[in-house]
Amino acid sequence: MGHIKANSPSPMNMKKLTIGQRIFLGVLLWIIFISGLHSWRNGELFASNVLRVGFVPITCHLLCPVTYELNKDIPFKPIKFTAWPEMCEALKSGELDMAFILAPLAIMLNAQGFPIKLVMLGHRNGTGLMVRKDAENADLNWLEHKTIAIPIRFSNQYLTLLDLLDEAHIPESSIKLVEMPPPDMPSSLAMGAVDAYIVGEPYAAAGELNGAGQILYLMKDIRPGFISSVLVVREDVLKKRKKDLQRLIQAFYKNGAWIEAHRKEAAAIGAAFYRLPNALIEHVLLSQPDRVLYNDLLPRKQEIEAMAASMQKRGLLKGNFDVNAFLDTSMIPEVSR
Amino acid sequence: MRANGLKKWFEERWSAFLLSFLILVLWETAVHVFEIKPERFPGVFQILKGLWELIQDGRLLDYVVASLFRVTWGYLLAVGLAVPLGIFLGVKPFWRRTINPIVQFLRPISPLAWTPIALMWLGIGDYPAIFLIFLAVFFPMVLFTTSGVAGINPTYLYAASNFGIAGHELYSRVILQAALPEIITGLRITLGTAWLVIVAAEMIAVKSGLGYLIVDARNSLRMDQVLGGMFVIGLIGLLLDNVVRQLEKLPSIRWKRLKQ
Repeated sequence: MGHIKANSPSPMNMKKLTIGQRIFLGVLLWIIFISGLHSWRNGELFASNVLRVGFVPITCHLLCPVTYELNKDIPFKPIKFTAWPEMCEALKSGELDMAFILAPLAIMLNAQGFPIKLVMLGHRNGTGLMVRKDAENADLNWLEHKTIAIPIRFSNQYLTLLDLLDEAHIPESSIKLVEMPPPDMPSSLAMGAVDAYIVGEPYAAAGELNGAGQILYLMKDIRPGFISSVLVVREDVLKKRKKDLQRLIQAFYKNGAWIEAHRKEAAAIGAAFYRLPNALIEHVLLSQPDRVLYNDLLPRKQEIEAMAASMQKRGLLKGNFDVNAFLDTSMIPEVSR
Repeated sequence: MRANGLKKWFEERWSAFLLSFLILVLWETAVHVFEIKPERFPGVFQILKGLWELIQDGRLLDYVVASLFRVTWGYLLAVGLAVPLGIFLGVKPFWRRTINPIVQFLRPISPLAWTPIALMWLGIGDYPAIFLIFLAVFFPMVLFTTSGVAGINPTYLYAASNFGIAGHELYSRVILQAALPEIITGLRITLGTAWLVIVAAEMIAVKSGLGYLIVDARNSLRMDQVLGGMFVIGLIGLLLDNVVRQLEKLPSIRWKRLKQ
């Protein structure tokens, strides 16, 4: 290569390219190669009739993989997210038609003027408050002056934690709250970086199983019927494709009952789809029957009103919130009411 | 000739290979001796097993391709715009005084700080990631080129003028050539930055790529694949650096080295 002069222009001899021309050609070929490969391996060619549903790999969104597995005839595509803000942006930009999303986050989005409707719940209960393994006889008072991890402020986990602290007369200022991605919580507890955390399953169970912590409360015991995530639909999609949506939502509903009757199979589907250990999902679904519930997924007006009021109380929601306009349970099978 | 080259190559690197090997042996031994749980810190063989799983189901190839695709486009778009702008600023002192402060101001803002805006404007997918790479490369590249051009020895320009070289030819045969060593240094440094940024950007803005692999493996509680992903990222970074290093060996770059 060294013997070729860098700038020897050789217009007369097309076979002999200058180094500059060679580099240009190499770069061009690379662009074509990598772009072609990318569109082959990662290109997502959505059929226009496919409903795109956002989810996060947690048991609260288990209906998504289960329905994808059981109802192959329904044209929908579950799209996995690892963080809530991206999911919100994808919903806003129209890359998602609907999403399983934390209920307070959905309320906040709607309050900000983004047109979505809450159509059903993800599941009930399915959240745990975990404390360090060495916390003996821990109760709510033990939490004072401790560092507690929450998934995000716009979560019912956070609102409920604050309510619990109120009940124990512990001022919020006397604890240290940290927002943390749920998968990091069990290891942070094990390392002593946090003293406790409140989170949706399976990350409470993950802390329990890897020996990092112990359960202080499961929501089934102190807040039966606890709501974590809800299914929201963009209003424009609702107007244009109500029939398709109704079919999908009714399948979600029906599959809630299926999960209740086939918990082991449902755990296997979820574990494979989420790429999480089977033993972990099985523990959540099978260790105690009401640790997670999929049989009452109708969102009730007073439940959402109470959540909005709690958000207002904690400064997460300003002004009035019209729950009636936000809720649309018309697509839920009549028999569920 | 080839055997000689190989021998030289090995002579230069055997100690680094030996040290890497010893570190891996020590690592694997420590994991067994101290009975470290795999979910805390997996051993070398476990990482290789995790990587093999990723290779088998095709995800590793998909993610490597996605990351390289985004870096390619972001990097080349930025270089394609930054080099002409840098040359322009290099030869026009007035415009340099006017535009440079803005470039200098934007340059230290981490591209990742632009993530919320990138997501809002461009949604999720390839575009925001390419945009972040573009930002990571564009501003430093403008500065490298500008300083390269502005620092050209005036003698070259006088000589060119004496030979009657002007216009397009002056830019392509004198100015660009004289500034090329600085530009190549810029290309090398910014490619490294681009690779750093793509991994971070893919942790937030997309659903494929090596950055996403790390987050996804973390969410699946697979520390072996987290570390396996890190290994692949390091390896590709090394390869990219080697590719750009080849440019420094070009005769049109070496002249400056020799002079120095």
